[in-house]
Amino acid sequence: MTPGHILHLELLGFIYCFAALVAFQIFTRRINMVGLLSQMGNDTNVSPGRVQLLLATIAVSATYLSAVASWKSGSVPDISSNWIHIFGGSGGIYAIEKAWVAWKQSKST
Amino acid sequence: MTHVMEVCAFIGCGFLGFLALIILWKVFKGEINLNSLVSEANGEASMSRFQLLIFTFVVAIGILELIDKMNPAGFPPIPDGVLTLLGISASTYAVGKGISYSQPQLMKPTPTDAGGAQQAAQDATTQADVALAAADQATAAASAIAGHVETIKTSADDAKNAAKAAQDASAAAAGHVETIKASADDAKNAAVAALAAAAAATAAKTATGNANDPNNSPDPGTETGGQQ
Repeated sequence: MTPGHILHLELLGFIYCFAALVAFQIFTRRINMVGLLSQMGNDTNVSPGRVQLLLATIAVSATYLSAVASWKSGSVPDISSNWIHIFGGSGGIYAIEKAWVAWKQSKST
Repeated sequence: MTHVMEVCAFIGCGFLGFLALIILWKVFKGEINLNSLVSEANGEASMSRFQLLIFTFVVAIGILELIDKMNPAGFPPIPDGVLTLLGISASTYAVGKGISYSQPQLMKPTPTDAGGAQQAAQDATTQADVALAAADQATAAASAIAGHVETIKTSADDAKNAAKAAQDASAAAAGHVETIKASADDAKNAAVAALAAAAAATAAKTATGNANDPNNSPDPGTETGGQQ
C-alpha cells in the first residue's frame, strides 16, 4: 500500500461521504431547497426554465456517469458535443428567463 | 532519503485523512452549516448553484474512480468536453448570480415574505433537529443513570437484608448465652446445695459415730484421726 493509494482512497471516501451527507441533508430538509423550481421572488409559480435546466443536468450527469461506469481502457471518457450543445442551450434558456423575470419585476416596482 | 520521503508522504496522508474526517464530522453534527449551500441571498434555492454542485460531484467522482484504473497510473488529461461542461455550468451560475444581484430589491430577505418565512422555518427545523438529538442523548444518559440507581438500590437492599440477618443471628446468640448462663447458675446452685448436703451428711455421720462409741474422746484431733 503506497501513499498514493492511501491518498486516492481518502479522496474517494471523502467525496462519497460528503455527497451522501449533502443528499441526506437535502432529504431531511436541512439544506434549504425552497424555491428551487420557482420563479425568482415568486414561490407559487413553477419556472419552466429551471425545470428544463434540472432535467438537462440530470440527463448529462447520468450520461457521463454511465460512460465512466462502462469505461474499460484509454483516456477519461469525453462527452459528445451534442450533449454540450444541449446543456449550453439549457443554461442559456435559464439565464434568459431569469433576466426576463428580473427585468419585469424591476419594471413593475 | 527515500525512507524519509515515504514517512513524510504517510504523515501527509494521515493529516489529510484526519482533516477530511473532521470536516465530515462537523458537517454531520451541524457545526458546519450547509443550510444555504444552494440558496441565494434572498433565501430561495438557486437552480444554477444546485447544478454546479451536481456537476462538481459527478466529475470529481468520475475522475477519481478512473485514476486508479488508469495504466500507467497518474492524473489523466481531462477531456475538453468535460471542461466545457463545467465551464457552462459555472458560467450559468455566474450569469444567474449577476442577474440576481442586479436587482437588489429582489435579493433582500424579508421576514414577511414566504421565502423569509420558509427560511425561518428551515432554521427552526434545524434547531429542532439539534435539540431532538440532544434530547435523545439526555434520554440515553438518564436511562444509564436509572440503571445504575437500580443496581445501587438492589445492592442496598441486599446489604439491608444481610444486616437484618446478622442482627437476628446476634439476638439468637444472645438468647443462647442467657440460657447457658442460667443453666450454669442452676448448676452452680445445685453444686452448692450438694456440697451443703454432703457436709451435713458427714456431720450427721460423725455425730452418730461419736454417739455409738463409748470410748469416744471429746478431743477433736482424735476424732479427726479416727476418721482418717
